[in-house]
Amino acid sequence: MDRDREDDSLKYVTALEPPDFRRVMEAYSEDIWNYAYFLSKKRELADDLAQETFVKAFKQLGSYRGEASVKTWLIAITRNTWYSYRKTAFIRKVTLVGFLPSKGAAVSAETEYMRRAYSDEVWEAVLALPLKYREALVLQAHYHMSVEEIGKMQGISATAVKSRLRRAKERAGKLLKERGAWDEEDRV
Amino acid sequence: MKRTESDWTKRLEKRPFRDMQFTTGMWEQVEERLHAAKQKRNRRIQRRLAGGGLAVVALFMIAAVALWADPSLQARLFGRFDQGRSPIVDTSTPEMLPLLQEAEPSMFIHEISDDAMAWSYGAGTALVIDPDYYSAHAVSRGDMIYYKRKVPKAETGPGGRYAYSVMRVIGMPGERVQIRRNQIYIDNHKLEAFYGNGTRGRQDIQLDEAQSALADDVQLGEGEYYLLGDIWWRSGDYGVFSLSELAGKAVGYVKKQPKTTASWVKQYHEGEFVIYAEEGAESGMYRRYEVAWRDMAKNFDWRGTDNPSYTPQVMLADVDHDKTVEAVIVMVTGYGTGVYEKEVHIVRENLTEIPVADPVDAAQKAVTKAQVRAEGERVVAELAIGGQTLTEEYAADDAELWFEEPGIGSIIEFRMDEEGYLTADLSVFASPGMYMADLSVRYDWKDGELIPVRFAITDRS
Repeated sequence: MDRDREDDSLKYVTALEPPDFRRVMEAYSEDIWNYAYFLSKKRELADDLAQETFVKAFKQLGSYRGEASVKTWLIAITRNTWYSYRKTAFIRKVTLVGFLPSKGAAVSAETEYMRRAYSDEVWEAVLALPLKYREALVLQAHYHMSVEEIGKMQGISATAVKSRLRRAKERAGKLLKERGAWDEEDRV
Repeated sequence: MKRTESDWTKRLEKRPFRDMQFTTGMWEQVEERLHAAKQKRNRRIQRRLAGGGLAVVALFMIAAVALWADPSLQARLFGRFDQGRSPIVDTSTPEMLPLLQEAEPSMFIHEISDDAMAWSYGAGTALVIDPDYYSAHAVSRGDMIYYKRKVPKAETGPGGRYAYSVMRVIGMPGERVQIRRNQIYIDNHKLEAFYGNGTRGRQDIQLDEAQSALADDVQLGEGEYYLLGDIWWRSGDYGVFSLSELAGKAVGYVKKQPKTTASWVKQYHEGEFVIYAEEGAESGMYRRYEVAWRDMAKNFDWRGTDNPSYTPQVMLADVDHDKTVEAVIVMVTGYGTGVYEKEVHIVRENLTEIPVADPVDAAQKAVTKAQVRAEGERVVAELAIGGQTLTEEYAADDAELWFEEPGIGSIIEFRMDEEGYLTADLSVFASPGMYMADLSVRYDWKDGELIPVRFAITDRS
């Protein structure tokens, strides 16, 4: 609860010393890394995106005015960074280097490792969704954003967000059923 | 069976990965980059002050090169050896000025009111004029020059509207300008340029009338230039002008924004000074304003809240010591419980904008001591700046998280102080939410902008 009050005060601060900035932001680093992973589905990219987000947030601290929560603000920065990275050769370079021509072997090694590291199998299904669906579902179910906030992020209306979420849950649900990972019993 | 929203929320509640992914090592890397970013921010202030000197030297060198490249200068130096009367060639002046998105803050718009340049620029064209161009560059043949007309004040229109106009430089100091058979000659050398001929090859143009007026040779003295409009027979102001009558260079033109495509809300009106804000799709902030002062108007990409309780505040003051007043416009850009955030814009009568340096950057650099330290159950915060020191004590329990150094907060006020200087008031924090003091930053005019020159701590509590 005090966390929220302090985060609220962040909107009054225009500049911080690096160690202070780190202490305020440390609590968000996992959430931001996870989000970066949801978007990119690649560990190294998530590392870079997350670090980049905090560096940008530091530089732009003066422009944060509390219109949204600190978490939402950071997620927006991550998102923007990701979408502009996608347009540059950076992605192609990393992808090519990370995945050699013998695509089969290298890809499955990473995904196997990641699969074992998931805390719950449902994440596998979510990550298999197309980007826009994946993003919307994760922002609602994991980051607890309202449909209006998600709409602002993705540049669509709240109604469009609702139908996007519906479709995302349908597809993810189907995937999970196929793997038998979503049982009636789980609802209890 | 449809899964409800809460099912998904429950299922996706936990982190996707068991182990923590954003390691301490990653934070070390981020911190390094933050330190680098901080250094860069501090150096920017130094560079801005030093850059002024460097820029002057660079511009002086460019001016020297431009002078040397002027063919007439070369012709006069080497003319004795040139028996063939080679033409004076100008291929570098473009036939059409570039179309710009809009005028930069240091420039203004001049709307053409006559046909002198109508080969390319008809009446109503909005030219972008750089009023300071010739304080840093030499005049070049072919330049389109904004000049002061030699007409009595009574003949100029409302607000001095027709006191200035635009023509082209065709003769440089010391030259003899001759016009023969619709063609310009300089010291008996033919001027080969797109503007060198009065008919530009068109058969339907008869120049006899203009010809007789321009038939006399003109000998230019030191510091004198010959200005002539591109349409010779519509160029009533042609003739000799001294450097002091040249008021700027036309560097481009802009498309005029039709007022009807946007709706404008009047935000401020006092006498002949009006500020309008453009209504945009997004609510909360305006992002484009128009300032109208006497008979000039210009658009600016400024930010300001659209809350009608916080309209812009305008003060008139002479901030650049040029004996005329400028408009100091303070916009509210954000507000919350007990806090306002403000930005300031300073605009001259000709609607050029005077840059104002960011007070927070300067304040951070001017701090000589900044520390927040724990002393048992107390926390002591210390800030030293501008020769003053402020020390505040708090109970350690007053806040969850204390900064290592007091943080400089947002700009809460821009005002003119008792001695007539622009001053910014900043807030200082010892922890998020723990206000410490006000920091007042006084500005003064230097090298074309307003920069912070004095800092004073005022304890508001």
